[in-house]
Amino acid sequence: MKTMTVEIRVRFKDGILDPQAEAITTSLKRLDFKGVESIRVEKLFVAKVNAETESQAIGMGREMANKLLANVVMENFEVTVAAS
Amino acid sequence: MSVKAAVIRFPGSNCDHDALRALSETQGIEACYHWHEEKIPKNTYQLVVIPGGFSFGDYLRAGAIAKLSNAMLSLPDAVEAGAHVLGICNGFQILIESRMLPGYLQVNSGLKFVSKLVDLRVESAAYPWLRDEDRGATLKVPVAHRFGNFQVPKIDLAEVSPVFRYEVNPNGSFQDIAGIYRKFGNGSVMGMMPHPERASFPALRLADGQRLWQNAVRALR
Repeated sequence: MKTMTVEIRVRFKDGILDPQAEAITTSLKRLDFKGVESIRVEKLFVAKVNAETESQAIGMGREMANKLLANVVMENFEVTVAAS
Repeated sequence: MSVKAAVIRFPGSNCDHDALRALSETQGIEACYHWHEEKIPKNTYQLVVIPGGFSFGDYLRAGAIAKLSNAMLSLPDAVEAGAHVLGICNGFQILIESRMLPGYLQVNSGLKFVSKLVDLRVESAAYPWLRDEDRGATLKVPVAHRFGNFQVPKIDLAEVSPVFRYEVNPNGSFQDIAGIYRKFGNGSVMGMMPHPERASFPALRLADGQRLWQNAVRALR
């Protein structure tokens, strides 16, 4: 059993409007960041888990995301094991 | 026999008192609180109200933690058996998180918390809360929310009916929808962002919400 760091990244699905991201983009433009085309806001969950293998740790991360961390009606998620 | 009603309370509920009072002051309803850690027993309550507030501090997403409570996990069975659920504001968010109602609630299009009186148009009957005769009526009811922008990828009108629409949309919701309703086994589930329980007191000159409770008594007693 190893302790691993699992990162679960949650973001809105394509096509789901994100008023917060739009407001941030507008504000950045007001600050003269003219080159900014868009901003995406994501949530990052960093979990320390005990697992035998990396794929088991990823499986745990996916289950956590499906059951709680993401609302899969409107959000996608990505699970990775961070290099230790 | 009185109609039995329960108001589920979570840590952070703050419209529980208003809901209990609005129900209790309706002749023919006997209402009590129901703590979220307790399962909802079958065939005990005819009405279950999930009140507004900030259950579990709105942590993660509004309603996301509350959906895991014993009360919410046992609710579908009680509804299958015949209970009628009304989720108001945070209660609507919880019903959506628990997938008893479709769609999702996004932050208001203006990004701000909106607290004001709105006019709601009744679009369809919703047993036991609204009758066919109520269709077309306008109710003056307050809204108070930041995550009330209801969106739905596709709405199956055979299953879910938009019950209330805003006359003037305060949050950017899809097709001005303010509340939705579906049958569920022998019971039903209705969710709405506006607060009928805060508009149930003639002394406040704000009593249009009473229509829901009075209809429920007429239908169920």
